Amino acid sequence: MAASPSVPRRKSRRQSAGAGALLLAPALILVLLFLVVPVGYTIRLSMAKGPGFNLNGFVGLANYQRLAIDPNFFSTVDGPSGALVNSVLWMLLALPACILIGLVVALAADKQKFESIIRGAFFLPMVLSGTVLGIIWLFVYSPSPQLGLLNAALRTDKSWLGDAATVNPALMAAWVWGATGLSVVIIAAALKGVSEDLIEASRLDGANRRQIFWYVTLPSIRLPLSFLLTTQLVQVLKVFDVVYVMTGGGPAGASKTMALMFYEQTFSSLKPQYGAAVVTVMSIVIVIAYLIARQTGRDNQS
Amino acid sequence: MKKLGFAIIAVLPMLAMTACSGGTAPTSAASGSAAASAGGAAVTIVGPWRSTEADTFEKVLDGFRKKTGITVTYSGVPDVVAALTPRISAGSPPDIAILPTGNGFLDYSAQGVLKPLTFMQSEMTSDFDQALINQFSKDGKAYAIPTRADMGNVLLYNPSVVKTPPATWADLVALCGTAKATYNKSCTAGMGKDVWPLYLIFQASYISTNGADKYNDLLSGKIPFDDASVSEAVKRVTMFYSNDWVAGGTSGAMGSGLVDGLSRVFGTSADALVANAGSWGVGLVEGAVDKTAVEGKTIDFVQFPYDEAGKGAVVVNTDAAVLLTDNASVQSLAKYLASAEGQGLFVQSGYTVSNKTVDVSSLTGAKAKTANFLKTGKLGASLISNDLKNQLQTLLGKAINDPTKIDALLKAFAPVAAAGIGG
Amino acid sequence: MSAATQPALARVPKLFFSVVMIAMIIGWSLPWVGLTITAFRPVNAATGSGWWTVFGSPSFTLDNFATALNSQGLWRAVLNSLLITVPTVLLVLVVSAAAAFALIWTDLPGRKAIFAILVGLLVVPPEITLVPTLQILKVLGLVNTYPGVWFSHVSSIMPFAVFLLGNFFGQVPRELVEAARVDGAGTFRVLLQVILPLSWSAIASLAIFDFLWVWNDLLRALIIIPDPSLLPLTATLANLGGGYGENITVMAAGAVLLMVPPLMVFLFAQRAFIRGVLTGAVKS
Repeated sequence: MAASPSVPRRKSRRQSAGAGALLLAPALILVLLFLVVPVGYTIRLSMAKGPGFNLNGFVGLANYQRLAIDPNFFSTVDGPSGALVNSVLWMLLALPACILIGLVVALAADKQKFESIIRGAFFLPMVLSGTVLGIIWLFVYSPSPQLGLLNAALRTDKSWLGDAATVNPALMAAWVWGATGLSVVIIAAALKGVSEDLIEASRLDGANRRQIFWYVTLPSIRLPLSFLLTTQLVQVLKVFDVVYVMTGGGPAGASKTMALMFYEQTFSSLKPQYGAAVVTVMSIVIVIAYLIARQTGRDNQS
Repeated sequence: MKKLGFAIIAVLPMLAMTACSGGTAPTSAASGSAAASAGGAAVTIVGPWRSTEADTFEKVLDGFRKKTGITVTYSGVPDVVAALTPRISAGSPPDIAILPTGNGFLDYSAQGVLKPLTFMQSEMTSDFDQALINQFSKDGKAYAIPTRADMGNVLLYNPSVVKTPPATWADLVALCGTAKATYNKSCTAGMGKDVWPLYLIFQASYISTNGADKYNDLLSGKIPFDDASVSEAVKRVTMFYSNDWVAGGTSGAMGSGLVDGLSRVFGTSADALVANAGSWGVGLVEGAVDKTAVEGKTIDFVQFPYDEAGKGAVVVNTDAAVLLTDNASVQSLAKYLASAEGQGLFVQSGYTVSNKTVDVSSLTGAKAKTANFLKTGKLGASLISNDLKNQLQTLLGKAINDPTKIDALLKAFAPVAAAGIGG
Repeated sequence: MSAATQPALARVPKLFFSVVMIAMIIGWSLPWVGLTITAFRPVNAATGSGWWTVFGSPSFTLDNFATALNSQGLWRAVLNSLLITVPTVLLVLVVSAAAAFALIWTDLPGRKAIFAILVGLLVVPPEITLVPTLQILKVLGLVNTYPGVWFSHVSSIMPFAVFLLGNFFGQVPRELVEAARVDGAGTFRVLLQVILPLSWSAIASLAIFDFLWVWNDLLRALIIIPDPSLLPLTATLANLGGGYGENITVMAAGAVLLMVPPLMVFLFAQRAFIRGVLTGAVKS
């Protein structure tokens, strides 16, 4: 229906390419300057001698060797502990928790009267910053039963954030409270897309509720679920704000995650080279976890 | 489409404005080379003192402001090192920084970012104890001005409750054995949440057990960290924080901050008998915990419970002012902060200072006691690098959690410490 | 085909279910409700009794906000948060829309590869870029300036923004673009008159997402903004704690201030935000 363009193709192509380059340039420059170059800088910094933030000196992988034997990063004395272990714990506990709770809530609220209110109530904490989450839950966990919601309910004066045994689950609960909203929203929307015909057909075939859930509903939302998994996996491994505000990594390092170890080494222990090594390893862990999760998601699809 | 266009057009001038003005906020805290004030360039200081302590420091600075007309801006932060490091690395440090108990001095001096005090060294020699000057010197040059000074290893208590304070460690053990029965309270109060009190009590414990000289040997690497003396000192810290002794139990104590811990000993709902802090704790309690506290009657201190080898050992911790720039205004302020005139204004507000020529006759009670100790005590204890301190604090936390692991933890820690000695 | 749509859990008795639902809603909201109430209570009341007692003996004051804003200087932090967030969002929209369009609808050579790489950068955690960013800003003379902070934020969100907008732009029907080209529209015209008008929902979602991301940021602010008078509200609040006994109601008030803009986004733009989130979920 379109007549051939009056402008010769080659010239308009060149104009388009030129305009494209111009339009892309700001983004490309910014990304190069503040995303790509810094990654290289950090890796090089992790191999520098210091002191200071410059790239003076070269010690090769010395900082990584130190990381490998550093009990603050990983230690098996008295059970596994250390920043790496804490980050992995978050991945093993907080991640499933926020997805499972989201799944349960989305299922329960599905097509119910209060559905939008429920979704809203669970979604609200998601827009809050980690700083606010931390402050909110600092109040909840306050040891005095006069001030702390939890201790008032349990009628005790336990210090949840001061006990190395309870501090990590306590912090995770705060984060999960904020992160579950995403699960609820995504799964609730995904549930809407589950084919009614398929469910009806299964019911006619005699499938009970549980079978319908496992063999029809769940597979239908596999794609959004795996997206959720990869997204939250990256989020949970990067956790900083909540822990920084609530315990700063304490008591005595019990809740220190890799991100906190990076911050502490760089700005408190004044060893930015070592901190750079920590953050590099942390980034590698995140990338690997992300790729594995994405691949698993893809495999499950077929 | 039109809306987007308008939006862009509206934003561009705003971007341009902020970009052109250098982007700094309308009244930014200038970084040293800012607008000149009456007597010279303005000066910025960063330090650890906040609320009432900050008020006192402002009074000290007022003396300088009135004298010279130079604008001085002070900001108090909870963690001086964490606040300083980005600014130093960005090339926009404050002019002067106050390092609480000298935190970070070894590290910054190794980085070479501190300006030497050669321009005032002779005055300092006459006004300060040489040991204090040496503590902050490198290659014969002084790099810091000790300002406020306090005894580090003390035990705070309420004399109206505990009539006879424990003197030796054995006394403390005995006291804590009967705390519930005799006083219906827990024995000790802890402040693990703020983390640095853990190092403070370790320092107190080690010095009171072994004496100040051995402590210097430990920090300079002559004594390894898996030595029996360290093990004993750590063990005493864990006893102090043990479930039997400490108010709130170990986890309660590890979850309490400095003020919470002190409130357990002083104040209306006191449920503990003793606490460890510096002698500055007296002022803090009077200001923030129990405003009705009366020195000598409801608040006092003694040396942290000692063994014979540590009897009478007093370690003095000072807050050290370091220079990160050194133009004329900064040097002038530095001299003022070291002078008897400047430090005297601290004394007027009831704080003890390092300048030994300052008249301390106005101090009473516990503060007079501190001033006295400063004149006779052993000054200039070794400094510890921040890295080593952080690791030691983590180790202490783990030891408090599981005292049976002390020796294993120290054995793993000793080589790390040896590598880290000296910053 | 089926007459009545079956809820996922149909057999549980209705009343019991409603009660459980309401309990869940209330229970889940308690933490932030508690904080908000605490922020409006006078200090003595707040330190002496839990916020839940306020239903029996109400006490209300705005003092905490006054203290927070004035004597603690939080007004400065709020201003900084605004001055950092709003221009960043606008910059992101402009830069990423331009880039996404260039990568989808122009004849830029290698655009498919560049798009893939740019979106691939999504995997890079921001933490690894923060410390060098400060050094780079120093070299550029942008340390302690708002533009420096903007550029840093914009860069970190660019992969996601390009991903979101790129996918959306790619769905514009080819015929529309061709028709415009035939009418003699140059590249810029196509962008402004064809692509953008069709993409407002994606742009709105991106704007909301970006606003939250920047307003709520803590770690980046702590590391790349050395000057404390330029710190946004998150960092200022985070640094309030610790040290010598804080006024908890002031901290609560500060947290409420930090909560307000995101909450407003939540109330007024929830749908747009969720749509944006879901676009990402479905497209990946």
